[in-house]
Amino acid sequence: MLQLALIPLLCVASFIVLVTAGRRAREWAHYVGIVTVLGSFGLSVATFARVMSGGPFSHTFAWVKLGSKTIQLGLQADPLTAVMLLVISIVSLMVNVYSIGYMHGDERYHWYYAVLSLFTAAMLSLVLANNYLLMYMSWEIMGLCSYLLIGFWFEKEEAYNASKKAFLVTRVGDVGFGLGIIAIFATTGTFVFRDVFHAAEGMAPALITLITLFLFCGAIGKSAQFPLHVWLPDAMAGPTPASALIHAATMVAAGVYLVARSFPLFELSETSLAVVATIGAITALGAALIAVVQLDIKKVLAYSTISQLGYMMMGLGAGSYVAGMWHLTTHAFFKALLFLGSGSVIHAVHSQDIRDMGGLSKKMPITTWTFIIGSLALAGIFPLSGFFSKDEILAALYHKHMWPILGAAILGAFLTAFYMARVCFVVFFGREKGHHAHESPLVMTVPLVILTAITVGLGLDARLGAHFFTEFLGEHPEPINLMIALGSTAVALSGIAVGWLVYHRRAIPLGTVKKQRLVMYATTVLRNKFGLDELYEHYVVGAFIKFCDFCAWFDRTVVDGIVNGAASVTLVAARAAGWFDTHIVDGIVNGLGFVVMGAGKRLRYAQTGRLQSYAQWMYGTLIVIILFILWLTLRGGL
Amino acid sequence: MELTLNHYLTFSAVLFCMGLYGALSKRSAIAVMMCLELMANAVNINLIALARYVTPGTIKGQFFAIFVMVVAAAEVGLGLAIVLSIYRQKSTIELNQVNLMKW
Amino acid sequence: MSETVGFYILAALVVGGAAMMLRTTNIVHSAFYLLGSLLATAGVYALLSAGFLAIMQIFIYAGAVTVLLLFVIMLTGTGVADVEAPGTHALAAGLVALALAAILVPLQIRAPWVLPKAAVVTDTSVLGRLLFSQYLLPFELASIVLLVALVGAIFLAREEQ
Repeated sequence: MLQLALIPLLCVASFIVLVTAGRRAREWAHYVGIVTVLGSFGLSVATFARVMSGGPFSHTFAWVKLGSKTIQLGLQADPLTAVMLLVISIVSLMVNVYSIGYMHGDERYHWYYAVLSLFTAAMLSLVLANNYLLMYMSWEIMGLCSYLLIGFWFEKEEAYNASKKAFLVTRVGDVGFGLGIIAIFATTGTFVFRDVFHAAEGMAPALITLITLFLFCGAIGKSAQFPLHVWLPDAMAGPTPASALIHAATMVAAGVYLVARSFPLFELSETSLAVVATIGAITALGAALIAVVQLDIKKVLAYSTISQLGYMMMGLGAGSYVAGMWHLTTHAFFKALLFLGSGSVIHAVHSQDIRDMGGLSKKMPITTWTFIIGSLALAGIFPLSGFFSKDEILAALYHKHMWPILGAAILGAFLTAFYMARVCFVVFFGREKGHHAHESPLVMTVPLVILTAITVGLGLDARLGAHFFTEFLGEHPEPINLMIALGSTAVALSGIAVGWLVYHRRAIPLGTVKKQRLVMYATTVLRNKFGLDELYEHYVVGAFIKFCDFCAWFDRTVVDGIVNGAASVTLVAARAAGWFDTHIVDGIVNGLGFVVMGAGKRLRYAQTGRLQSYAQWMYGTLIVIILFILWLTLRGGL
Repeated sequence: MELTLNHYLTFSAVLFCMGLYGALSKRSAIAVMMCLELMANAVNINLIALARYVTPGTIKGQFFAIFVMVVAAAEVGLGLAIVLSIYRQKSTIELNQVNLMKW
Repeated sequence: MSETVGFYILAALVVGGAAMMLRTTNIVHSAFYLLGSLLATAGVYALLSAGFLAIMQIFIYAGAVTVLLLFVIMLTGTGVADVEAPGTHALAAGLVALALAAILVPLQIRAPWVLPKAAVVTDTSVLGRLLFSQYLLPFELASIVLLVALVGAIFLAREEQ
């Protein structure tokens, strides 16, 4: 238990240390980050070994009692978790090292490493969780770190807007996710995966579909699937290494992990799987199309990530949990590689626009060739890891006879190869654009090399790699479908060829092509990302702002009206009371006074001082008294 | 007509009221004293009449009348002494003038 | 029969004297009319078989009181020719007196007097005996009253120092 808990806790410790130290840590923040991630990596390796030899293990404990129900929490390590642990810790380590160079001299250097550590901790604990509750908590913390990192350079307007957008859009997905978790707890009474899956077998199919769709909402948000993909391109405003870690390799993969982890539930619902695959297909194809016309190198990679995540979803939707996870693993490494590579280029050229780049292969060889290898992996070229993982997905789709989705996947593969070729040829070959670019420092190039090695290595182990992975995850490995393999290779190669022709050989006059009406129209549509952002802005945000205006109006007019009205009423009442007090009450009191005084003034004349008048009064009164007594006596006795 | 108690009672009541009238309306202090004497006498007549008719065996009323006489005599003496005193102060015995206790 | 006649005569004298006393403006005349009334009253007492009291009446009232009154009239200089008009509030006084009379007369007449048919004691010795036995305390008190009145009168009427 401790071993598992320590993995994320080391990074939490790093966060605490760096936050407490503050600016004093400007010189040594990276050491703290790297050491802790290294520790987590070591423990991850140990965990992996233990799972490989001894099988999965977990530890659950009771956390809190709510009435009659007890909520259990706990950590687990099974093959899926072990793989994720390795991926996360390696990529995080690479990013931590790389950032020494990239973020050198930044004002808030310590804060950068602090958030980086916190994020790593959250992601690690996400995969270690054995229950939905802890998973959700880690999910949210990751969302927070994403927000903090995107908006790291918050002086820039695009940065803080992007971070808000990311947070809010993923939040929309998280609402669905939350509802799913609540539904799970309501129907099964527990959050723990094992118990939930047991209980699920007895539940109504409709209920399972509902729950899985809710859970998928979270995945749509976090993994930038259509229609909640809009935040990812904007998130490129953050520092590139952070983008590499969060928005390429790990955090966005969390959605995929969620579906994979909940696979026993998804398997029970054909509908959900179909939805997952369909959304994956739409995302993959749409994003690939947009990537073709992007001018910002990071945006290309962003859309590429969205597209690849779509592929992972397609794999999962085809019922192959292995395919999706394998692609996640390989993608994590080569995408991180590509991002860090682009960071290197940006660092050298001080611009993100590919039109400012050109012929960099001469000045930055390491960056160039690592980037190219990464691109080839992404395009799915044998014998790199990307080929195998993409192949698995296509094979799964083929087996399940999901033709339209397969078609979309193949078209997407063509486009993927094409746009990556475009980037490579434009950036690294061709005419130099006349700047003093130079290769990046070692701290930046070494991680690139390491990631390249992993990318190649995962592929080199070829059959063994995929086989091993498949067996490790508990499935039966299938022989490679030659038809699929050859077909996808052909598609990829043709994509690269077209790219070569257009952008390197200039065989197709790009200028003329671009002026074609159809092309211009298509370009506009794609550059506008199918108008989705504007749609959201107008309908969703606009409606919300109208609602806010209404609330403001309501508050001003109705609420204030009531308050002011109450005040006015009180004032009127007060004045009335005042008038009442002055005139009536005082009137009575004064009146009494006057009456007494008046009576006194008149009565004093009775004090004549004369004996006989007194005597007269006396006898007069005596007579009255006698009469009164007589009357009483006559009436009926005294 | 037979002489009854009622005759005496009426008689004394009338006499008393005449004395009262004088006591309340006379200007001279001495005249007032004289009317007071009249009232005392009326009372005496009343008492003695009652003694004669209601308690003939133990003529209680007469004793009362004796004491009334004594007290009335004392009262006249003192009253007239006061009148003299007032006369010395204000050179008048008109009761209208003796109004030191007025408002 | 003769009693009744006697009563009426004496009553007339008393009431008449009183009326004259009230009406006359001359204070000396008033004093003498009063004297007449008092003497007639003594007669009434005699009629009521109260012999001792009749004599007492003559001694005290007709003798001492009247003389005293006359002395004071003399001393206070209200002479024969003094105008003695009734006070301005004679009306009020008259009303009061009338009202009282109107109440007293019927009241007394209608009161349920129990009239025993016994014979009235006329013996003065009985009076004397009772005075010094049963009514000794009031008797002594009466003498103190007289003493106090005596001292008071002397004090009040003395010459200023």
